Amino acid sequence: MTIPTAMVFVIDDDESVRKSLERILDAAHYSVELFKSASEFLSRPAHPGPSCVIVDVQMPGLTGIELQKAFIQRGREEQLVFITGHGNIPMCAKAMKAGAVDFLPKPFKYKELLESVERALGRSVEQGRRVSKKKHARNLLDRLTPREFEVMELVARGLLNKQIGAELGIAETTVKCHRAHVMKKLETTSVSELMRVLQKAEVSPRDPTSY
Amino acid sequence: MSWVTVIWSIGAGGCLTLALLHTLVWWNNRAARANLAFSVMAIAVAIFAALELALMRAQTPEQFGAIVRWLHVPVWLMIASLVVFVRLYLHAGRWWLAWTVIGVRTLSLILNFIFSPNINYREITALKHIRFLGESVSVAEGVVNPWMLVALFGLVLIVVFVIDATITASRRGERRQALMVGGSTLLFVMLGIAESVLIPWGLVAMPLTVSLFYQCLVAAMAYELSYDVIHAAALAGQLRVSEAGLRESEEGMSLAAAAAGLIVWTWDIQRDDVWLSDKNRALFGFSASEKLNAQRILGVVHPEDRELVRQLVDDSLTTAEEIETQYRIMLADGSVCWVTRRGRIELGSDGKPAWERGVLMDITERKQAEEKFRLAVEASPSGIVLVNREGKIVLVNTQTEKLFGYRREELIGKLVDILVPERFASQHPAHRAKFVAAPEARAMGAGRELFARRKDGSEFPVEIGLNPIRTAQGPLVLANVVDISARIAGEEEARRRREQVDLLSRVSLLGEMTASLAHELNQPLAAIMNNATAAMEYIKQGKLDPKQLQEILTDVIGDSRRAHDIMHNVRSAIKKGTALLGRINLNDVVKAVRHMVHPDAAANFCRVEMSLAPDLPVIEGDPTQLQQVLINLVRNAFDAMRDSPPSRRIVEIATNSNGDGMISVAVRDYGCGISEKTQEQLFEQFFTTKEEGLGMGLAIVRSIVEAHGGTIAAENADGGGARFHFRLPANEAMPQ
Repeated sequence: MTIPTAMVFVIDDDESVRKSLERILDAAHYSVELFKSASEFLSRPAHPGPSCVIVDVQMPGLTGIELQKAFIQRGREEQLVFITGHGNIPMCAKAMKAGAVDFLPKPFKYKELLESVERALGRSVEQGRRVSKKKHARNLLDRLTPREFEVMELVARGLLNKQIGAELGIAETTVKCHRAHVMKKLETTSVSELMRVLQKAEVSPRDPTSY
Repeated sequence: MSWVTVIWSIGAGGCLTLALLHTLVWWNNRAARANLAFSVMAIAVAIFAALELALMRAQTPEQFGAIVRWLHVPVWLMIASLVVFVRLYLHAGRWWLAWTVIGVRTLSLILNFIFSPNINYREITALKHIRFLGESVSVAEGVVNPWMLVALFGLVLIVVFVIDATITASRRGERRQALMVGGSTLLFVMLGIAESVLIPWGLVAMPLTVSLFYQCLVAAMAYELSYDVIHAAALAGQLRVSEAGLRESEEGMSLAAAAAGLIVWTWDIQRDDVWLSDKNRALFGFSASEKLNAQRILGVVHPEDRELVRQLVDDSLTTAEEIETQYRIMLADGSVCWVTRRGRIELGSDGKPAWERGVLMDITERKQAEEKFRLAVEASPSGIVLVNREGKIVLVNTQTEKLFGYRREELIGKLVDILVPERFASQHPAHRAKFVAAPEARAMGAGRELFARRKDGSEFPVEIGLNPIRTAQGPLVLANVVDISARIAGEEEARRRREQVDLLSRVSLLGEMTASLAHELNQPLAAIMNNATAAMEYIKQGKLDPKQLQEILTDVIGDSRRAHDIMHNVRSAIKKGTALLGRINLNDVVKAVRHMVHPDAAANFCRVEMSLAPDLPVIEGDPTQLQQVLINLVRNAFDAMRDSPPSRRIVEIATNSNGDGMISVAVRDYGCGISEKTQEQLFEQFFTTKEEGLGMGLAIVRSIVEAHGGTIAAENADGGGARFHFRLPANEAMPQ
């Protein structure tokens, strides 16, 4: 709640709604930025810190749902809180399935809105942490040479040095040497630690081509 | 040269010639019996003359007596034929007198042969020779037989008979014949009597010359008969002229009769002979030579009418009254004609019907017209009542019987007021009188609701058209009665449906508008709530300055006004309503709609055709809402075809079960189709291509279809025009 870099973005075509949201969020001490349309928001560079996007479902041009689709297509994870003047169940279900934080029919209660915003920001913080861990793990993995990466994958699969050698067509001693480099570069001491790094980097050892 | 021989021979020869002539006349015309009698008399006179000549040459008294005796034979014949001739020629004289004359003369003839030498002489003593016409002739001397008086009496009777006949004939006006025949007969017979008396008694000395008188009589009668011949020739000439005239007038008559469509006929009743012109015979297929009798004529009468005609003719023969009747006859060409037969019977001298003359008149056209009228009246779907000036019913049709529950015969002749409800009956005669005074074709009781009364006293609403008709029987009023109870009920039902649909359209409008209304209304409400909440928070945090508060309140007021305006605009358009759910067959909906849009279709000259899938599964939904969907689509179709030629103005409604659990209904027109530009916005609110349109119709349609869990789409159909089709799930729906 008191993360200073947190931002709340409001996208609504109705000016008075927009303005009133700014006031209420301001009263709750959030940094607020207002947008008249979804496309206007898309043209803004992504906010590096935790953020929450409050978006009206029905809007001329891009609707809230379409904006959500656009984020997913671009691989952008945004925590969306939908607000709507007249929503229906299928619309709501669709939005929630696609990962929306909440779906609030207007007029909404102050508490409901703040809870949703808080939850969105919480998720955003969580997501930010995950992203930084992933970044760190991937940086570690980037240090490996391609041969070391192959050896690392086979280690992660639980193969013995002998088996790894047979698999790659190299001597067991060479395997041992690569293995030592891997552990050192990844700053790990055990296979289980190695596995954690892979997990954080969201890389599956079974699928070497994914990276 | 003997004068006696010359005179008597010439006389006898002349008589024979005349006899021959008139025998020939009789031979050629057996009816001319007078001529036969004349011939017989002439022959008798010739024989008489010959015997008289022989008498004058008689040598002995015996010879003389014998000749006299035989003389009586031709005399008898002569007198008998004379009497018959007079009777036949003059058509007068008493038969009994004639027979008496003949009887007396026969008696004298018998006596003549009983006595010796004859009836004239008891005995002839001697013959005397005297000079006569420069010649010596024999004359008898002797005793006169007193029985001669019998013969004389016969002659006197002739005179009486002839006088009587002459008087009768001249009284009849046949003066010439009477004078000629009667006069000459009297003159010469009396001369003969005189001589017959004077000579035997020896009062005059001269030979018997009675045959001369009779020869003169024959000549006189021959003259009379020849006069007849001359007269007959003249008559024949006149007859030829008059026959020609008659033929001409007969032809003229037939022509006139034919032109008037009349068939003239004559029936000789006693001989049972029917006369028809050749042309008319051909009409019935009779040959010109065929003998026609009543039975043959009856053969051309239509079998169904035959007995009736036979009966009528028989009756007319007994009553001898003029008859007129109508029946059908069959012509040679196989056609059947209606005729009216008119005939007049003439009685013979015996007082019995002898002739019937008359005409047949072709009345087929009139009958056909009558039949057409009858059929038209009977076929009329409305009750027809024909009323005369007095208000009495003259004619009703079957429909009237059905409407009022009366049988025809119960109504004919009754006052029409019995068909009017009792509460109006008292005023009805006044209304009637007003109409008769100023007859004009009009609706009865304009502006009022009319009721009619059945036989059982119940009433029903009617519409009555009145038409004055002029007929030969005086003015009549034709009333056309239509039972409008069904129509009124139908109108009531249609009104109820219209109201229902109307209400539904408002309800649907509400449903459709809820989305936008909620959106519109929730915007300001959300803003107000946010602003108020924000203000509360600022106050809590103690950092609200009056300027900021003013800004917030200004926004709140603005949003409140905005909400109010939205509500105000919408409130007037919406009232109330609920959807009725039921299991319905879309085919029924289509049929109902087709019925409901019928007036519109007629007004737009459009035809609505249905193609309904059999065994359509039922759906769950609101029939009225779905009717409204179809009505909207069909009305749009009518509008779209406004510029199409009337022959192409067809709306096709088709239902289909697709087998995928969906039922589709398509409405296709042959109108202007859908332009690409309008295609996208077709179902949106407030979008319209019509000048006076609100742009709500298709939005409501979509709203209803979607409320029933269905979808709707539109496209241009092959062959021109648009097709709107919606699909609804069978037996499941989620109406709002």
